[in-house]
Amino acid sequence: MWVEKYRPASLAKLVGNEEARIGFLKWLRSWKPGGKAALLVGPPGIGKTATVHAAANELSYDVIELNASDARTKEKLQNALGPSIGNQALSGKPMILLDEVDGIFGRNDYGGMEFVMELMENTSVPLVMTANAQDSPKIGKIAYKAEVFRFQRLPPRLVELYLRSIIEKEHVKLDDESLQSIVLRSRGDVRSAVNDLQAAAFGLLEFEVEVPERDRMATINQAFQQLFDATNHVEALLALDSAPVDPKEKVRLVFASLVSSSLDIETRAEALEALSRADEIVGRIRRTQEWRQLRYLNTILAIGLFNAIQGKRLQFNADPVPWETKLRLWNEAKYFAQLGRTLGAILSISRKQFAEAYLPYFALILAKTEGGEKMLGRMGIDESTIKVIAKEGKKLLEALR
Amino acid sequence: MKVPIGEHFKLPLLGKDVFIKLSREVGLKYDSKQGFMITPKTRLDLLVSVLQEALKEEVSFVLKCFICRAKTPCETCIYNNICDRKSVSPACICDSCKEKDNAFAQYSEKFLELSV
Repeated sequence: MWVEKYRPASLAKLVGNEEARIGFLKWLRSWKPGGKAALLVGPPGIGKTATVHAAANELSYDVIELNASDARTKEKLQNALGPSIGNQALSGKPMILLDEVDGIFGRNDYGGMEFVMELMENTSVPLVMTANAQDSPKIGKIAYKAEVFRFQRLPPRLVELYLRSIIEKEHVKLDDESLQSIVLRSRGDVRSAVNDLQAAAFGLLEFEVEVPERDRMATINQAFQQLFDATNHVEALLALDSAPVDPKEKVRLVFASLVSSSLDIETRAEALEALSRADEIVGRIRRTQEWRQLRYLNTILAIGLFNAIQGKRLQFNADPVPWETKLRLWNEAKYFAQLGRTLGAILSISRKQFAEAYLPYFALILAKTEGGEKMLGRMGIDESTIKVIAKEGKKLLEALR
Repeated sequence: MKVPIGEHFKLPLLGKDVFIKLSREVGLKYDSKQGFMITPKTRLDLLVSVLQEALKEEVSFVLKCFICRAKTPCETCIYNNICDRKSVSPACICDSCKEKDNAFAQYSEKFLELSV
């Protein structure tokens, strides 16, 4: 992936947030034991973590990185960081990075905040934290005691400048209009811009900026079809990355396409297995609010799906119910409604109650009773409705046998 | 009002409360001789809302080219409609610097020069 390939080794290779980057570099250069911790705050995808790694690289620090979302209890944080605090000889020149520190202070903060505050007071190595949320009261407490560097989204022209430098290195041919579309889509998020650029270079990106709903559906359709038609893992991943829907919707759309497909049962089972792993991640993220795990979702889903269906035809379908089934249900529903109206009135129950509680038994009784259809006719039920309910009764009878 | 980024600017007298807000909450740097200045700690979104309320007029930012410090041509920029200047990082790049073949290298060099 180009985002990894072009991960900057030095601060000068990043774009945007110049003063914050310079400020952070100066802070790290002048840091002495007992000095303040640093807090880099700003939206995702604009280079906070990259800044920390690049600065550490320039000043020969070894970064001990802890994703705060993974370890939010005091005990876990202590276990993970304990050995590196105050033990410079063993680990060279360490620097602690608590990435996405907002994750510690989610719903299940079991002393994590207290530990971080203590760490800020007592650490003998530079402590750097990153956070997305700027206004939470707990981040405010940290900010009060730390050196804060605010990162902002990048001006689009700088995103363009950065993408042009990659285009030059990769010898990619991309017209100005397409490049500008990528910049516009990114809305100042460099990581997503680089992903889109790679997708465009692979011919996997539909260039739409202000996407009307109809076109958005077309883009979704195209992205998922490209995912299903991918000839390798990278193509599959880039296609899934480019689908403009949220993670839950991604899982739903893949599910809908799989269950309505004509793939053989083994392939479908394998693909659904991969999908269930992705769905577990989505569920876990929703429960724990560990949004950092999102970065693994597309990889797991794209690779799992590619391995399951490679070489086989899977058609994108946003609706899990096949059209033929829907048509049949729609037709039959008319008859069941008529039956419910007539018999519901006789039985003094609502149409809904009839459909939910009586209809299956009624259909069964009808199928088993000699002359039942004639009896229904005498009750004023028309012939087509009688045929449908009789057929339904026979199906039920067969199923019960 | 157009607020320059990266240089000092002056404001009319807005009262003690606004001044305290600007320096404590917004994070503007103040020098009694030169005036106010935006720093990396300044909360630009808050600055806009505080100033708009106090001045009763639209507040926008003027970005400068990181390489040559010229004002960037925001009005004619193709990204003008989507570039939210109060929430993007303060430096940009002007047309003439952007057109150069080695624009990114120059940008990096400028960063190195300033970060020493």
